[in-house]
Order: sequence, then C-alpha cells, then structure tokens
Amino acid sequence: MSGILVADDLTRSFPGRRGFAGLLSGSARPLVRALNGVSLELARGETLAIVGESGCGKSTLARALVRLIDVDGGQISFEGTDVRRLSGADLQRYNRRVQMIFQDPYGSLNPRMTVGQILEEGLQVHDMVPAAQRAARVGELLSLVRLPADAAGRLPHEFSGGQRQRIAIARALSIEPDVLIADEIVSALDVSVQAQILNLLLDLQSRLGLAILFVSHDLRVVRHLAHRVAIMYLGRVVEVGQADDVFDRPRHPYTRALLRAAPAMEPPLPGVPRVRRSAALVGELPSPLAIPNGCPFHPRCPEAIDRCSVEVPRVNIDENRQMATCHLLG
Amino acid sequence: MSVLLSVRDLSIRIGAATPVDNVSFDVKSGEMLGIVGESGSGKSLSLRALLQLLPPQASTGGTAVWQGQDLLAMAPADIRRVRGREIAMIFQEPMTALDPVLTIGKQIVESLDVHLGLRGAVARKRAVELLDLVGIPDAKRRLGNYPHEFSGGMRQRAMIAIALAAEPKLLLADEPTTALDVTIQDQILALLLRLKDELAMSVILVTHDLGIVAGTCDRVAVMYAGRIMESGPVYPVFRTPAHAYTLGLMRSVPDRAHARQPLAFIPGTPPDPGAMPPGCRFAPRCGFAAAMCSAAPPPLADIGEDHQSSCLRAEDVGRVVREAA
Repeated sequence: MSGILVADDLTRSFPGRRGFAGLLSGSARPLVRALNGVSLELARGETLAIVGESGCGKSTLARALVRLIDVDGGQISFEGTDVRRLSGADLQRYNRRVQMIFQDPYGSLNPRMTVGQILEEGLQVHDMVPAAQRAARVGELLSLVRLPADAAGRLPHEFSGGQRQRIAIARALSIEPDVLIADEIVSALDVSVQAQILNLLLDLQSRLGLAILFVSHDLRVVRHLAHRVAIMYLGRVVEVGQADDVFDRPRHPYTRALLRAAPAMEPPLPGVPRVRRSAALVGELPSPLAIPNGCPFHPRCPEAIDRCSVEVPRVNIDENRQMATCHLLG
Repeated sequence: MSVLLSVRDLSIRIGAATPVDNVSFDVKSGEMLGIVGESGSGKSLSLRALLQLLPPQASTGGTAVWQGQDLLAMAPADIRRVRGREIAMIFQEPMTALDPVLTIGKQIVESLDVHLGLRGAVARKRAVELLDLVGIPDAKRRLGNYPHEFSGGMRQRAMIAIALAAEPKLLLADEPTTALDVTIQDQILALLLRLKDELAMSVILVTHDLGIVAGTCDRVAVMYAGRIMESGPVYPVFRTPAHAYTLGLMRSVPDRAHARQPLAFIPGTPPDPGAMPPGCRFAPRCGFAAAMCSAAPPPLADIGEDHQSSCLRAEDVGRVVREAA
C-alpha cells in the first residue's frame, strides 16, 4: 500500500508552564511531549481514524499534518514530496489538496461573513473558478452538503450547530481536496444531528474518493466510519490495523481497556440484576509533562511485567498487518 | 419498591417559553433513573427545578412530592434543609462547582458541619473516610489539596464525596461524566453504581448518552423539547421503543452490525422553545406523524407494565420495530 499522506517518526514538544517555585529557582521549563515518534500512512480513498484520550497527541498530529504547527523531527510526505520543505506556491497547493475541519463549528466560521462569502473565499484564493461562475459553484456546494440554496445570503449565527458543521465541510470541499483532516467534528453535536453528518461524510467519500483522517474519542462513531484505526496513548501510536481487527481482536492492553470502558448500547435483560463490574482501568491518565519510562501505558496496564517499566516496546506486526507496541507480543 | 419521589405535571416557564412542559415521573428507592435527551430537551432544567435551583426569572408549576411534602412549594428555609442533606446534586464541570480557594478537606468539613453538625477531629476523620469511599488514594494527605491540584476525574470524585457527606437518599447527577475521558468516565460510573448499592440511595442521572443509560440505569425517561416522550424500564425502551422519537434516537446511534452504511437520522432540528408546535412537539420531524398528532398535546399513557409513551402512533412504531427484528 502506498499512502497519499505519510507521517514518519514525527516528534513535537511544547514548553509547559513552570510553577511559582520553578520561576524563582530559574529551572528549565518542563517539556510536554505531544508527539513521540508517530508513524502513520493514509491511503487514497480510505478513512483512517485516530483514537485516544486527552493528551495522546491526536489533535497535535492533525495540526502538524496540515502544517498549522511544525514538528521538531520526522518526515511528512504527500504523494512522495516532502511537506516540511514546501513554501510559497507549493505550500499553497498542498493546503488546497489537504483540508482541515475543526471541532467547534461556532469558532471556525467568520461571524461577519455570509455563508456565500465564506464559500467563495477559498475559490478566489486558490483561483478555482472564474469570478462569474463562483455563485453557481457556491450553489453546487450547498446542495452537496444538503443546505438550502438561500443559505448563501445568511450569516453563520442563523444556523444550528449541525448546519454550521455542514458549512465548514462545504468550505473544505470547495477547493476539491484529496484529503480531509477532521478533528472531532461530530463531538459537539447531538446524536440525531451527528448521524446526518456521518451519512454526509460516507456519501462524499464514495462520490469524491476522499481520503479522511478522522480524529475522535468516540469509539462508536469510529467503528461506523473507519476502514482503519490507530490508537494513540501519550504521544505514541500503540496499535494500528483494519477497523474490524482492532475492534474484534485488539492486540494492545490499552485498546482492550478502551473498548471495555466505552458504554455499550446493551441494557441488561429484564428481571436480571445488573452485574456490577469494576472499572476497565484504574488510575489517572499521566500528565504529558511526566510521561512514564518504558511503555508509557505500564503504570495503568493490568498486564504489565517488569520489562515494561524499563524498555520501550518495539513495533510488532502480525499476519493481518495489525501493528501493536507491547512487550507481551514478543 | 416504594416510590421515593413523585413528580407530576412539572412545568417551567421562562418568559413566553415553556422549556419544560407537564413532566411526570417517579423515582423508586434504590433505583437509578436515567433522563436522556438532546440539548435543549429540558432534562437539566427539570433536575434543577427539584431543588429550586432555577434562575429567578423562571416559574414552576406542578408538584414534586418528597416524604409527603412538595419540593416545588417549599419555603426557602425548608428547601435548604432538604438540599444537600436528603437530596444532593453533582454537576458536569466539577471545577466550577468546587470553590477554588478552599482545600478539598475544608469543603467536605463544611458540608459535614452544615448538614450534620460535625466539627473538629470527628469531622476530619469522617472527611478522610469519605475520600476513601470515593476511591481517592492517600486520602489523608489529599484533604489539604486545592481543586486545581486534582485531575478532572479526581475533582468529580471529590464532588461526589461532598455530595455524600450527609448520606442523602437521592443523588441528582447532571451529566457527571460528559467532560471526562472514556476510561475515567467508566471509573466514575462504576463508582456511582457501587455507592448507590452500598448507601442504598436512588440516583437520577441526566445524560445525552444512550450507552451510559444502558450501562447504568434501571429505568429511563426520554425527553424531547421539554416533554417526556417515553418512560419505562431500560430494556423494553431500548429493544421495543414505543415512541417514534425514541426509535429515531436509537437508529441514529451507529451500530456495529451496520458499519459504513447510512444511519437513519432524524431530519430537521428541534423546535424553538418560544414557538413550540401545538400538538406533539416531535410531529414536525416525525416520519409517522398523522393529522391527529398536531391537534393537541398527546398525554403520556400506560402501554405496558411500568411503561409509558406519549406517541399516538405507538402501535405503528411497534410494528416497524417488530418487522426490523
């Protein structure tokens, strides 16, 4: 498989905040290691979901891929070209072909621009269609995301959250990208509205052949949408594989815990008392300021052995090409 | 099981809007009741109304009978005696519910003093026990911490400890895990289930997550646009929904057997609270709606053992559910 967008060994740290004592003593600012050697490949036309809890680096990864932030080390390549070296017109072309959509449909649309102006802006910047045809293209885009044609003359505040997310999707699609990077785009939406957006993404993908990197913490949504899934924990990818394999035969203990912790839609049978089970994982998520040595998951891992606290586990790939990083896999 | 709290025809008016309209439900002793709905359905407002915690411009109608007294009609001094002692509440964002300038220990001790008159060493000992109870390790030392020194999950545990200080008979939990990560949410839900049994309390859990309801609640009330659409034991409501809205909601949730296939979403958006439809409030978005649905608000009627629905097309909904099974 040759990926359209390939990340190789990405690292990125941010300076954390010093406490008052730290300020007085003049000690170095602590480092938050947001990405700690992340390698992933997104194939043409597929949906790759990135799943993880707070501080796992999933949003940093999304932003790094569209060059909203720079990485400290590693390689990003798009159709074989080195994305980190792009500048000027080449960078603009990259930005046209790889588009990002954000979680908050309220914060990501300019409140003073009409929906028509928002959708035309990209067409103009990237010189996509002649000025005379832009209004017609806006109409096409609105119908693509199933918004009424008269939406073009209205302002973002006149729309509901779900409709705004459609506008954001229409804006991303206006310049005909090959890759969509979607960062928690349905997390703020109610379930009935979320279903509309998921249907739209599936439909657009099959019609336009988009590759989608779908960042989410919601396993139910991920299972519905993704062809492949990557599980991240504290700046590292701990498991990657086909969605069915990862959900049905998880190889990493963290993936297993995450699946067990997610609420299932299965109520107990009537008359059968609820079996109270213990929590899937004990302990807190460690601070990204102090990532544990060895396997970052070992302090919470129910299956940890001595080796886990000392040695970073190596990548283990099985016959299904399902990758996991765990000492128990050999 | 005996009925602990009986809410009848609870309505909340704010200006011209009625964000909660004729809501009725019972809470039995020892049970966990889920109130589930999407944003703006009135689920949190209904919960707050029970302890008279609504903003001053809101007025309430109906009754909520607790130990022979109507919570909605109680004088301020009387509801204060119930609040925190007999009925306690926890919120979505513990950071805003906890006082940032007082240590966790001080806040628990304060609660013990106000509700039980415990002070000094006795109160401190009880505070350590409470932190232990909610699973905060090294409880004695943690009493001296401020809320900002706790993680989100620990803050929620601390808030639960404060709420439990007076051993309430009913805990109102308003989206208590919505701001938490999946594995931490799982810990807090397991904790609530354990405490409910150990302390023989009842819990009303307000949530937007149907999975949480399935995993924790005994019964559920489904709210939409300020009204209860359907209520009953969790299993029949999930497996054989008797309201078009419940069916729509269940079908909107991705299900593993139908990955990458279109979901049966609910078209349109919820009504504006100032301009509610005259009949069933779901009728304008409902695929089952008939002329009668828009005529008058349909009452919540018994349709099975302990199972109510306000859907005039409940039989047709039931047929569709059976055919799909």
